[in-house]
Amino acid sequence: MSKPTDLVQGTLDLLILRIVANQPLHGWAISQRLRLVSNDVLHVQQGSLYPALHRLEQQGLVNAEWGESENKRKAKYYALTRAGRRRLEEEAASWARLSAAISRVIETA
Amino acid sequence: MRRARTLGLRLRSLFRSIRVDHELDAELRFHLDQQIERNIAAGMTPANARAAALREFGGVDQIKEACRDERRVTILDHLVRDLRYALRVLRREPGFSVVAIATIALGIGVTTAMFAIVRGVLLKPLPYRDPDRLAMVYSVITQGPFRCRDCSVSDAAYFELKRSRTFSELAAFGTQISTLTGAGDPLRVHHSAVTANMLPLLGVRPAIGQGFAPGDDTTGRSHVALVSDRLWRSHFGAEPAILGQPIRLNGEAYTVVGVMPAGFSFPNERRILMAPDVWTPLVLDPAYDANAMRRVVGRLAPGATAAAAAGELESLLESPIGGHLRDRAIGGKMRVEGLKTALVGDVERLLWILAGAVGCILLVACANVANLLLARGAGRRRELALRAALGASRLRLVQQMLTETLVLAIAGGVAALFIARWNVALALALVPENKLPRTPEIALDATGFAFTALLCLATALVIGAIPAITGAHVDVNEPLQEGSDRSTAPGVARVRSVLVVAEIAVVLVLLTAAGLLVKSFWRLHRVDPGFNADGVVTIQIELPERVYRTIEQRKALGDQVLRRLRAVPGGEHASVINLLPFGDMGWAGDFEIEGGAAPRDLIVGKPAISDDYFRALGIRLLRGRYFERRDGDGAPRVAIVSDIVARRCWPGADPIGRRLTMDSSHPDSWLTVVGVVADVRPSNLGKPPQPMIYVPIQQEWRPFFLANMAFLVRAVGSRDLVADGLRRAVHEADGDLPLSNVAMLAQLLAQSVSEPRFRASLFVTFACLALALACVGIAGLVAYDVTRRTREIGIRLALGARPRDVVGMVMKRSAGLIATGVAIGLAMAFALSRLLADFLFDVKPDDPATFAMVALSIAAAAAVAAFVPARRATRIQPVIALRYE
Repeated sequence: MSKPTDLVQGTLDLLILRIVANQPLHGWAISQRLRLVSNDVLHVQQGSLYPALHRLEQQGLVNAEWGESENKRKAKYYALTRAGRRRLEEEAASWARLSAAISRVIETA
Repeated sequence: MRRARTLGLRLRSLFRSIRVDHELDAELRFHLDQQIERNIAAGMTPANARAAALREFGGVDQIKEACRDERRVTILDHLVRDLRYALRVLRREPGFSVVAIATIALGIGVTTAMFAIVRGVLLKPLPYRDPDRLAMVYSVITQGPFRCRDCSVSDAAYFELKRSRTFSELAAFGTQISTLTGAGDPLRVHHSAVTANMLPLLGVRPAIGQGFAPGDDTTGRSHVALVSDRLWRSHFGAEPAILGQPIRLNGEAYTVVGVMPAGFSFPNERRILMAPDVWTPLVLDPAYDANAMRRVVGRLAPGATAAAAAGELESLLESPIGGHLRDRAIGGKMRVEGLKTALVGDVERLLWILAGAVGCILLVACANVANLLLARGAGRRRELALRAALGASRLRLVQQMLTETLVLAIAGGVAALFIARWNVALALALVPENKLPRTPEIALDATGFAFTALLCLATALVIGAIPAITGAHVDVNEPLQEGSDRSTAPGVARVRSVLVVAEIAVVLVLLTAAGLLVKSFWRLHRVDPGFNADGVVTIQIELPERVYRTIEQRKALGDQVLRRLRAVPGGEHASVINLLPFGDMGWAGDFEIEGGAAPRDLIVGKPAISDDYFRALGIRLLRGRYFERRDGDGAPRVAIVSDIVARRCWPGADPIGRRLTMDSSHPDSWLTVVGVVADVRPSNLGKPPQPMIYVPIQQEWRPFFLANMAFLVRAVGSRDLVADGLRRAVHEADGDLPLSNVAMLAQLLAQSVSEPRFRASLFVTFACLALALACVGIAGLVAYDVTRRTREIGIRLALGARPRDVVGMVMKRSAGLIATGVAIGLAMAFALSRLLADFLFDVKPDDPATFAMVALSIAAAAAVAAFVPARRATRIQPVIALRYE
């Protein structure tokens, strides 16, 4: 397992929003999904994940509800709110712009 | 500080609940368990799996704390943080905080006290069932020049009125002062005789025992009595076994059948403000219409209005049955007035004016604190800018500064409750006796506290809004740059000036009111009553009808007391009168003169006096002679008239030897005028002298007019000894007479102006309070101005400006503000002083002298307040000033 890449401050929020955009997930599943989708490049520490989730909930970007997990245990599921979806679109667009710009600089400069 | 912090923590745990922490636990445990499961699935032993999961997980507590931190950004957390910050800031500047809190406490304190009084007297519903339907019924009398808007009705008229349909029920009552014996020491009590249906009509039941039975007021034989809660506690030891106890009222035996609830004080209406202590059944005679002595209260039938009821009552008196009544003959108009208006109508206006005055004080207090905050806010610009630079939004800054004023207001509010309690007690102690209705209902209760709380919030908003908004409007960069100009934004300076101008204007209005009332009182106080009350000792007695039936018995008692009184050492001119000037009783009526008509508008007082009366009071003889011993019963009937009567009836002629009568129906009632005396004001210093026709008491032939007597004697030596002698003389003449009080006539005279004096002193207090606040405000403004301009002043001084120039420069600005404030205040006072017109005697509401005086004194006080800090400017050391930055 290679050393996980540190996440740029603020990008974690974007990633979480994107991950829960498809379906409500609990914290564990979010961390697993992030790892899986990023081909094991992006690891998020619990110490960052949970505060981020609570921050997003506090800002009204995600909703949290208690539900039953796959193994019949109570788990806290996070789902995107409408405000969260809007934020996700903005952030995604600005990320795309930023990363494209960076790529261009790296390739052409 | 620690206490504040623990309070904050408690608040947080209370609101943010344990639930959140609990959920957080569950959430993290779930994550951990998932990790462990996965590790086991990957082939680890359970113990290893757990250890690995925990290792990867990191510090659970740190995560939890981090999550909590994210959640802590709530309004309440802001509030707690702001509160803590505010307390720290306020503690850092104790001088500022104490002044601000004291000012707020004063403003809210007097306002809360005034609220308690206004609410108790004006706003609370009367403590009876459905009180809005209760109304007083008055007879309106216009007989010749005699007018009376709230007169009583006769027994017979009451029975006619009872046929009313617009009233579902009517009850009658009368009041008197009686002597209670048979239980402890003899006691003078307010005694009310009421018809048996009175309590059911009001919807009140005795707290102990029963009310009157329906027949108690018809037979005249049920000698039963109800006593007040107050009397029961003070005189009967709150003994529940009081029922059935015998008592005596003016010597007559009664049995106590009940104790009324605490605070019950009916009958009380504009004429009777003393709460009764004893109630007995009122026995009426349906055939008696010779005297109108009954006051009537009723409950309006559903849907009936007061106006319709008055019309119906008039028609009842006009009907064939009621038509023969004397009540009808002397006017027959009826007036129906809501009970509450009847009770508080007289004081309503004054109370609202006072409430307005108190509101002004609160406004001045608010303006002052707002000004202080603005001055301080200027010094804190750097701090605010720093916070803004660190990311605090403008809203957060406003919120935080409002929290500070809220802390001030709450601290002030708590102190205000004590001030208010003290104020209410003080007001109730100082208010002239029997002048303010419903005093037992004045209380600082939960509603009062709620009002205070509301006032605190409003105060915080009012005083906090301006500084918060102007203060939060900071440019992040400007104040942070070293050495930049520290002066406040011009907007803030303008706001502060407006506040000071407003303060001066409001104070001027208050001071004008105070000035007018003081001048009015002073003039009233200086009015010559026409007699010399100094050193005159009096005692007023009421002769019980049961014992003193005939006129001879009454005169005999008077003679006996007088004989003893003349022997009292240190007293002179012992005399008796039936109607003492400024005493409890007063009668007036018309008269006729021989060979012509008396002026129709001349209503005269008709006292019966003994021969030495004029000498005792020093009433000057203008013509003829005083009464003498020879003007006795059987001698030719004589009268002495006052100057007005002489001049009006016999202008330019000699009144001596003329004849007049006060009861033309009796042929031998003609009186010959033997003297003319100076005019007196016998009951009201604010009214013109009353025309008088005096008769010798020995020649009075109607027993009714000698039901009351007042003995008086002029003390040349010790007044106490003479007072003792007076008391003994009455007691020796008849030991069973109802108790009565010895009083100095001068004291009665002073009591008659107690209301104007109370009003004036109240307004003077209010105005001085507001003036002091405003002066503090002005001084604060100038002091701040000086501090702000330290460098400029230093430069000027260094360049050779004289101290006088500097003071002048600083004062010039204040002078402008003061002048503006005075001008606006004068205009406001001019518009508002008319409200006081009813309370003024011999002073116009726009009295120029008062206005000028008030304007000058405010200008002077404000100038002094400005000068004190302005002088400090001259002591600025140029060198230090230049280094000031």
